[in-house]
Amino acid sequence: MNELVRYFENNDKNLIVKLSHYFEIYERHFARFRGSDVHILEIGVYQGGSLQMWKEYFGQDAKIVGVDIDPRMKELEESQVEIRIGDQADPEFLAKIREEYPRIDIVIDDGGHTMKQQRASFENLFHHLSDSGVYLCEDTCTSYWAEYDGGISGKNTFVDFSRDLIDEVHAFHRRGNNAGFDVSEYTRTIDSINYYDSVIVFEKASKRPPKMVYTGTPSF
Amino acid sequence: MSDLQKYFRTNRKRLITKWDHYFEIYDRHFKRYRDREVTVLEIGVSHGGSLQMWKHYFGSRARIFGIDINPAVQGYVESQIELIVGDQEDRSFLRGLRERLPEIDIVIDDGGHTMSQQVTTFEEIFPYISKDGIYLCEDTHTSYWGRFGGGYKKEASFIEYMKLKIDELNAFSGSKHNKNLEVTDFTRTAKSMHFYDSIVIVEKGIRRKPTTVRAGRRVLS
Repeated sequence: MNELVRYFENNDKNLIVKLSHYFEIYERHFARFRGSDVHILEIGVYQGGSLQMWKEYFGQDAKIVGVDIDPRMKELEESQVEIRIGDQADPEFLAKIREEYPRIDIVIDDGGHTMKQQRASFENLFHHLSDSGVYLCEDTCTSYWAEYDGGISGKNTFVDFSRDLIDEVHAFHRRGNNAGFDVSEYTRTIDSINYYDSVIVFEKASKRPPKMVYTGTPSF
Repeated sequence: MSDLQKYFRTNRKRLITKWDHYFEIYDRHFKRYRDREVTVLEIGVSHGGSLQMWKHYFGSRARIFGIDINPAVQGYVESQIELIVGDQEDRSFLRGLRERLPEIDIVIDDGGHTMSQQVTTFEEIFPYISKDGIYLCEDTHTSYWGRFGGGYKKEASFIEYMKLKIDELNAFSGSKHNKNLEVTDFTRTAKSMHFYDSIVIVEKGIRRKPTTVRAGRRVLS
């Protein structure tokens, strides 16, 4: 069984609320960081239960920062876990976070889930992530929910925003005159965009223009 | 370096042509099938080198099928490798494959790379691969190239087609508060979608409506 599921099922510490299929996604994208001195930023503290879960999962060298808008969350700090109070949609607050935490390897956005919040956090934190970092945004089903300013496609939702990045991932192959389609910082740093029900995971890597390679003997 | 890269670098058998970053992506998604009884279907055989690479990579229990429009590929038959000649844009040919082939676990579309070929092949083949199988389409940068029927933001491109599938992937959760979103066969059978430079992957899995789970004690009201 997935270690996170085991932890979750035996959890008698602070409350954790998740969709059940998230654990496998975390494991898939986060496993390579276990046991390392990974720096994690989670937006949305709620009851502090998932911060405790990350601490157990990543191990004693992990450094975990929780961000929340509710000042009461500050009291959930413990060893390896720091809490910062602020608005995930506020670029100035996020600039302060970048300054205070020069290295972040994993961002988990489980904050307020509105379009504005998800987009502002991504735009202000993604480029700050370390070179092979991971940015995971959860509950992206709100991209379809009016209450969070979502809707079906074309409403400039977070899912729509991520879809535009798929084009940027391909921009090294741009040919001829394609207004608006250019190699960007995203082209140079996004290795993959991974979609699941309600979760989007962006994996970073230093990308260069791809090369065609060949070996072996022609058959004709 | 992955075993695939090692194989590629020392390859003296049939010619393989790939983009250099593909090997790591293949290994990441395919390695769970190594040394298993896996059935692999590659569309687009070219010189036959990648079929030999898959045979080496997946091991002695793998069955590898290559499809190509060029009848000359029939000459590449060897143990574990079978060839079928046909057009990946021809729906009746693709439907006929269901009768001719065992259940497929992995599909690699490295065929003609036009929009119509990629979309047609996906539509016909995806529903019939095994329940935890993998569909990989490569050279999807042709979605941005006019001579393949693509173009930036062009609705008919394979990338734009796949972008809309993201909505279907989210339909269990999304439709909770959005009546315009419908649960489809794709929603019920696709577990994840992965977009890389020039590669799109869909992983299958049997899915149900996600459930919220809770554990632990409430510390703040």
